[in-house]
Amino acid sequence: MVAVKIIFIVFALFALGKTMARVAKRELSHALGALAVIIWGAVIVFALMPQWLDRLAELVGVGRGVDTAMYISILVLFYLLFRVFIKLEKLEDLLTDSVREDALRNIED
Amino acid sequence: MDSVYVVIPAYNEATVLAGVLRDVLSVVSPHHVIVVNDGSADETGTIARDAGVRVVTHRINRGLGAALKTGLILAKRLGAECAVTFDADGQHQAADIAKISAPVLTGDADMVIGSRFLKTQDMPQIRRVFNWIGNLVTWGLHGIWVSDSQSGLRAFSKTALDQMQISANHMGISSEFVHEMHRLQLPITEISIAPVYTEYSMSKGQSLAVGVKQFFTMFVRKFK
Repeated sequence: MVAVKIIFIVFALFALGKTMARVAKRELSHALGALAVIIWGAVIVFALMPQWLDRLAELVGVGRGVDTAMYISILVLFYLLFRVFIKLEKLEDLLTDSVREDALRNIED
Repeated sequence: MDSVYVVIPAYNEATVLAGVLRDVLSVVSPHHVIVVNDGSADETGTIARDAGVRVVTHRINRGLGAALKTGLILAKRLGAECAVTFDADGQHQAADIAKISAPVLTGDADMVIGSRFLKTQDMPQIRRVFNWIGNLVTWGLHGIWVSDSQSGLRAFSKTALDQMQISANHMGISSEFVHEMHRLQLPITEISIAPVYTEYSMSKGQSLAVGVKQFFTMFVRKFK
C-alpha cells in the first residue's frame, strides 16, 4: 500500500506543480488553479488518510472508501469531458467564422 | 421574384447538382442563385460555376448550418427581400419556390417552412420517424412545435435576415431557425410541399446516429 500511496502523492504533486506553473504564466485562470488545488489536494489527503475516505463512503452510503473515490473520479471526468466538448464547440465556431470571412471575401460571380 | 434569392448549400453534390440548378434556373435568374460549396472534394464548385450562378466556397467543410448562414449573409448583402433555402440533393422542386416565398413577399410571414407533413404524403417511414424526433427535439430545446422542423425548403424575410442570430454549424440549424423566430416574435407559416424521394436523396438524409449526435451537440451548445 505504501508504494501506491507514494505513486499517488508524487503524481498529484507533479500535476499540481504543472498546473501552478501554467497559472503563473497566466495560461490558466486563478479559478482553474484553485480547482486544481482542491482536486489534487484531495488526492494527496486521501492517499495519506485513507480512513477519511471510508468515513466519507459511510456518509454517502456507498460502502468502501475506494468505491467512493472511483465514483467521484468518474463524475469529475464526466464534468471535465463536458468542458472539453464546450471548448471544442467554441473552437468550431471560430473556425467557421474564419472560413466564412474568407469565403465571402472571395465570392465568384 | 426579382427580390428573391435562393441559397443552396452543397457538399459533394456533383452527381445531382447540375439537374437541381437547371430546375432552379427555370424560375430564378442565375444572379439570384447562391451555391455555397461547403468544402466539397468533388466537382460541385465547377458545376455551380458552369451553371453561371454565384458561388461561395468554404475552403473546408463546416456543415449545413455554417453553409446556410454564409449563403444567407450574402443574400442579405445583395439586398434580398426574401431568401429561400433549397437542398442540393434533388429533394425539392423549383416550382415550390414561388409558393413558399409568397407569404414573405406579401408581409404575412417572416419565415415559411415548406412542410412535407401538412398533407398525407407517400413518405418513407424512416424519414417520418426522424422528422418526428427532430420536431420533438425542437420542441424540447426551444419550446415550439412545427410540423416539419427539419425541412430544407424555407423562406425568410428581410427582417428575419437582419435580426436572426444563428450559430449552429450542422443540422441543428433547422431547430435554431425556429427558435430564433420564436425569440424575435416573428411569425412562422408552414406551407405544404411535395418532396421528391430518390435513392440518392435518401442516402444523403439523416440517420439515427446523426440525429443522436446532433441532439448532443445542441445540448452542449446550450452551455456555450
